[in-house]
Amino acid sequence: MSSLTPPLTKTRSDSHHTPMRFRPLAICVVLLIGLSSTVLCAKAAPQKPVLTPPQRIISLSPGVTEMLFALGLGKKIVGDTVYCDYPEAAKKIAKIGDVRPNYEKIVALKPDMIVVDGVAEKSAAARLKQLHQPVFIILPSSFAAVENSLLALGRATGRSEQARAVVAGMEHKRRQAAALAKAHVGRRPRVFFVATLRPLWTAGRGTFVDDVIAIAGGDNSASSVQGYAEYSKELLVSKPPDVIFAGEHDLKTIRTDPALRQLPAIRDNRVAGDGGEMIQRPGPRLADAAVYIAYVLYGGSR
Amino acid sequence: MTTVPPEQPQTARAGRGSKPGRAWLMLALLLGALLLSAILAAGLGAVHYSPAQVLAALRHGPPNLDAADIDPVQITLWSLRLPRILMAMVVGGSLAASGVALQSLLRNDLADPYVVGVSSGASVGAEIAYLRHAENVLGGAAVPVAAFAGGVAAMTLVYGMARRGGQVLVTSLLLGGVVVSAFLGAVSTLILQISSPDDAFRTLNRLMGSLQDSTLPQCAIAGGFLVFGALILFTQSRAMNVFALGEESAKQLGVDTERFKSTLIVTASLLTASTVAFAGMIGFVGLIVPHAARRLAGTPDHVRVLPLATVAGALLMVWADTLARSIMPDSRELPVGVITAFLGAPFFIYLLRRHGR
Repeated sequence: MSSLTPPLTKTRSDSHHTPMRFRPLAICVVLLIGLSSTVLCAKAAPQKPVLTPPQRIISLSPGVTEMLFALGLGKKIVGDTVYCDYPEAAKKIAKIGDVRPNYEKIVALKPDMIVVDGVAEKSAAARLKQLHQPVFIILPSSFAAVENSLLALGRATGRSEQARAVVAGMEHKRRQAAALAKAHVGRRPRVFFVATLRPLWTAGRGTFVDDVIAIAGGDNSASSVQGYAEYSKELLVSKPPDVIFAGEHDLKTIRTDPALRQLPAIRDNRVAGDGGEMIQRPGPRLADAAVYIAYVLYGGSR
Repeated sequence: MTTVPPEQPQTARAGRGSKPGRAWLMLALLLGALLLSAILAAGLGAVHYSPAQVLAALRHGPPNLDAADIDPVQITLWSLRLPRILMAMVVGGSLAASGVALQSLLRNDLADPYVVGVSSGASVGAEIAYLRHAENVLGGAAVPVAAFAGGVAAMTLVYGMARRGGQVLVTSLLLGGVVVSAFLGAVSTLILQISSPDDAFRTLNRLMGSLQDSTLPQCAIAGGFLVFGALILFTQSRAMNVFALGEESAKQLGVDTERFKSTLIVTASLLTASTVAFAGMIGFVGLIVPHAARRLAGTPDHVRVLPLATVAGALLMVWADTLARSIMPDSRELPVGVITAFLGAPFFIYLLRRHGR
């Protein structure tokens, strides 16, 4: 097995053992798939009209699960992934696997709608279609795309009314975040988002994380990279960010990292959590993430 | 083909007091166990079905996927489990047969496709094919062909390095295998680094060793490789017996050793490459199954060990894959290589200790 030891393998196989480490894996996959979803965005073709609203829905990613719950469809979800931990009720739903969905389990649940977003492996959608399963694809690769995905899901499930209300709520929060940013004069603070710490990956141009940072009035210091990508620590040190966002678990490690702890943002404690993955889930809470980031940057609460 | 003097097999077979019929009885038993296992295993996984349900679904025939309301049992059994059970058999058989060939070629019980670098070479070949999106080129045969090229290249390199004046030194061979494997590991990392994250994830996922995405056409291709490879090896099985006496003796006894060795290298690489291409890296099967087969046969005679090992390998893989898809909670799956490693590593240590004595 010696030829299979690139860093990614480590992340993946480690993650099988302790639940604590599932996060980096999930993030990694978001990262990996992020690129492709932007490409696919143009192909968001109109879905087949659904005559009767689906009663047995399966979600293949945490963001989708949050969307479904927001549309009041929580009770109709018959299966979701091991990463789906929000809202609380999502944890109790039958699990259909991790980033690699278990097709046997999915088929056995007799779903009438399987919602797939960019987080699920691209080949999963192809394989499910091959098995003639009712796949519904959304591509929430930006703030606006998340809203559009919610509307599309609403139409397909007979919850258009609810979807519009959720989107209106998101828009309200978006304006709130933008207003906070606008009240501030001067240079926009440079923001660095830690997607995974080891290896150091971040969200660059064309990701919804980049989008939400911009909405909150931040300047993504990784805007030079495209999509989710590895980011050099040297680059980070030479172009120090004003504020760093990272997962709660990574925050502790950053403070002890010999290179990273010298960053002004760490020294001045200008670091913040990712709100329990709120920032990196393409779901309705992305609007809360925008407000949260704006508060961290401009609210003076830190 | 190789010519073997008529008096030779008896000496080489030297089955230390074993009854000649025992191996064939074992073979029949193993085949029965394999069939039974397939039916039992078809009922096990994320969702369990009774053997009666399995047989009913099989009698029903493949489901029409366009029909409005198909029983999930049908889809699961015909489109998901049947292909992976068949693939498990083919992969297990191929790995075991290639293990027998390599152990004979190197006259070393610790040889297997992983130790000598064939697998690493094949995985680099398969990786390149994946990254060029060649899965469907040549009717699905492009990946195994690329893997085959990589496997043969690695094996030839290792074998060439170990040759000194017409003699193959086992130590150099094993060292060469380690070095070449380590180097190819770096090549593999390099390829993954320069490819897009999405491609890298897909490729890694495949190479980690899984039968989850097997399809019937793939089983047919891999099955073809196995039948072809196993038949070729079988024609060499008497020569393998003679070769066990030493290369010089084999030459004197009329074996065209150069031709014999290259046949074994190419065939073992072919079998390994097809498993790497379709199921990823699955270790230890090629190492432990030949030993088990020799035990079961009660003789080192390759004529009997080879078919026995092939069937035993298939049986082992069917159960390893069944474990891989059913022991984790939350409908997750383990890479099947994890299961074979957990079974194989202790066995390997046991072998080493026994050899030390």
